[in-house]
Amino acid sequence: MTEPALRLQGMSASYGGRPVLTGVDVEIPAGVLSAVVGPNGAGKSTMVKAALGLVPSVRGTVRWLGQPLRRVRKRVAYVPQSDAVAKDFPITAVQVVEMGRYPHRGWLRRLTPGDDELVADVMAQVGVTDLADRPIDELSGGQRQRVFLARALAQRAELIVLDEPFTAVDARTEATLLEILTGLCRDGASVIAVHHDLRDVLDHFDHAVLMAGTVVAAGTPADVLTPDSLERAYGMAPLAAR
Amino acid sequence: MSAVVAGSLQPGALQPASLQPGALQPGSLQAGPLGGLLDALPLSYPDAVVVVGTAVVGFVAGLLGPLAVLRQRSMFGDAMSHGTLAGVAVAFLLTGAKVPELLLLGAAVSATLAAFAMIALERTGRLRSDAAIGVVLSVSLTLGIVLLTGISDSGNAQQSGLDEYLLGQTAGMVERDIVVALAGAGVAVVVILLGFRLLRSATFDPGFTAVAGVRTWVVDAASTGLLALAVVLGVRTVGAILMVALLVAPVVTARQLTTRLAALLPLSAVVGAACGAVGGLVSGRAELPAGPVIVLLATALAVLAVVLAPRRGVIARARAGRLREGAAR
Amino acid sequence: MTPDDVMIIVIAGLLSTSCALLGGLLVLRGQALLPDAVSHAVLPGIVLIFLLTGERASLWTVAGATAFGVLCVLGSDWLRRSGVIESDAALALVFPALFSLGILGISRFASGAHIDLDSAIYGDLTFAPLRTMSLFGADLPRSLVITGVATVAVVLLVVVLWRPLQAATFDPAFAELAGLRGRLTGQVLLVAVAGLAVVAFDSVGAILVITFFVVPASTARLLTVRLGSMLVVAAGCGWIASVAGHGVAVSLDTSIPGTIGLTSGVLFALTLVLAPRRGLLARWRART
Repeated sequence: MTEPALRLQGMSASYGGRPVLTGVDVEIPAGVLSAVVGPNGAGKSTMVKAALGLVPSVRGTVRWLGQPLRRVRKRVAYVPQSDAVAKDFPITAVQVVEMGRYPHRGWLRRLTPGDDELVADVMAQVGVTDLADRPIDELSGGQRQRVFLARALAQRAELIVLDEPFTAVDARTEATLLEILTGLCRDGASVIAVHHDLRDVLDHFDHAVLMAGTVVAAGTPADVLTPDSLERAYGMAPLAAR
Repeated sequence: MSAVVAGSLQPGALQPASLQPGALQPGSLQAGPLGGLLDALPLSYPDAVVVVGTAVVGFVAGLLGPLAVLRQRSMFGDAMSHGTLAGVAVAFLLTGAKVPELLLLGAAVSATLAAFAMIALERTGRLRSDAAIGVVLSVSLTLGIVLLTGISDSGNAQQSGLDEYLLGQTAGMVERDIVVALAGAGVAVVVILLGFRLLRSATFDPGFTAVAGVRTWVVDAASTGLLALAVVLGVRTVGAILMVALLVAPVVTARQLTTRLAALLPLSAVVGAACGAVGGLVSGRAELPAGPVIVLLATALAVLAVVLAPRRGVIARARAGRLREGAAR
Repeated sequence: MTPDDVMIIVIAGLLSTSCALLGGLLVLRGQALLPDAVSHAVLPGIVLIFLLTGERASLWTVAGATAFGVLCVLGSDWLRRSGVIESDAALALVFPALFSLGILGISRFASGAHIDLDSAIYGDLTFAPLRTMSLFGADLPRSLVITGVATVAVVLLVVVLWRPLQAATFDPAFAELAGLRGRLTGQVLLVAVAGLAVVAFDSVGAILVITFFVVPASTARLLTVRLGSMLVVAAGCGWIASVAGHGVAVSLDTSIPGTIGLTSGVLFALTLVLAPRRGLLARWRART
């Protein structure tokens, strides 16, 4: 039996003394394209970040691929929200993608010719080969998102977590990214994406988790995004669910 | 130069006469416009002058500090106070320090220029605000130092008094300084009262001000002018290096106690005035330089408020957090 | 140029190099004003060590000063994390208080002694070649040895921590998840800044430290698109400012650190207007 991609038990998290998540119990299966959806302030991003240890003051049990996070760091890749990175940082697209090899090479070991090849491959896969030497602050939102997905691909992770990957992204890029992510799942990897477009989720995703301060429903998108549970998530104040 | 700097740290030490308006002749000053007020205080005349003077300076800094702190521009004040140095040096070179108010004017002009340079650099979108502040602070300060060293090397015996703009001094404070500070305080109060609603929306919702038809640069210019006023008045007392604390600490204290801007401004002004008065008095009695004493007092109050304030304090928050967690279970 | 002039330029250049390396990282992390705060906050450490040991330029002094620099960083960080104060206000609250303690210490306990406040504020680069120490049988200026050691240490630090520093500055979440210990390297960087600020303090005085850290780095950011080239160009700007600033100071007979800082500022202003890609002129041309 395969372990779930992510299992959370009794997780709660707070920001500046204010609770954002309470009593989160959920299992996201491995090998599928899964979406975390919900209204603004529902704690979608917080849940993902908390599970990745990026939020202080978190309680509860977190298991990635059946293991605590520190055991599986190299097997999990994360694509942050586009405003979480320093956009004015002097770095070129290819350098960003090369960072994907850092978890495997550590502080000092040089990147191997194999690494360089892999970097070139994933850049071609997401269609940014000709942007390799462009500084990141001269790229459009869509181009930048492609570069960050390439970095996650270069990590050769079994599980990719994306936080709002399609905001400020053009339609063509979104289609390309979705196609790549679907392909990854076909090859056995797992993908978890925080997303706000319910239509998209119904059309393209295999699994969905609906949030409103806690988990309202989880399962196939068709089962989760029912008028009834949507009413419960969107129709009331985000934190009232507790 | 070092003898003079060290000297200026000791209240009562000889001060270069050039920067003191009026000579140090207490008898001739008794008849000043504030004589009655100063006599009414249960203090010796020189003590009374220092206490009232530092209180007024603290009041102005406390009242205007929110313009910097609430807009996340605290270190703006630091660069502006360092920026005064170049203006003072230029004014000194041009006028020879015969009229102390002209030195203040020079300080105000260069502090304002520094502020506009920072805003302009930020607007180019090429530097983050902290780097913009760092660059402007560096340039205005080095300019001031080069000019100062130039003055001192020119053999002008009265130059070194300019050093006190870095560390401040209260020993040579006279009634005329208080009158100038009171005039500044009056201007600050009037402008704040007239522009309060605008200030409130600009502070909490810059977008709104732009929408409401008031150009943001008008608000920027007005608050920059007011900050320059506070800085110029304060720099002579606590010095350019410590001035920023006088702008920031009272606001931090006041904000721990109230969240309403209408209450925050007067509260912060009162805290500033109290720190100024008490600090001025203590430093005089203990023969310590006034600036550091005032600053330490104001900082201690701010830290106490951060820890102990009834609702926003660290302890109160930790307790509330625990209660809420308990309730959630 | 006399050998002393060359020595002053070399000391200033080495200092510019190490300050530019760390300053470049600070500018990109939004912590550009930290060296300013630290360089003021170290004063009570220097005074305290003087009161305890009677020395004002020993290794203890460096250690004591660095400790207060770190205290300043930690104190403002604690205030910021308490969630009631913005980070800029926290910094503005902590460093003047520590500087005040130093001033009070001097005027209370050490005013008769020879803590020279003037050189603490303005620095005494001019006399640096005169104070020598013997090392391996050779008489070398103390400042040269200290600055040289600090520069080598900073270069080593940046090289060894290159990946975590780069990753944690650009994308903190990634650095943490990738196991690069981003948060830890950030703290190491701050301690290094505190130590280097003390060294710089010794040579150029409290108020000019910020110039060496921030101005060349800001200039370099306008000229480069990679972190590596940015740091190299920043160090280069520092050397240019050191040579040119020294020349100006000698011909005008004025403060050497002051003119170095001013030259640095002029270099920045020129770059801001003229830089090929990111300069204002280039942008204006691109628009019209």
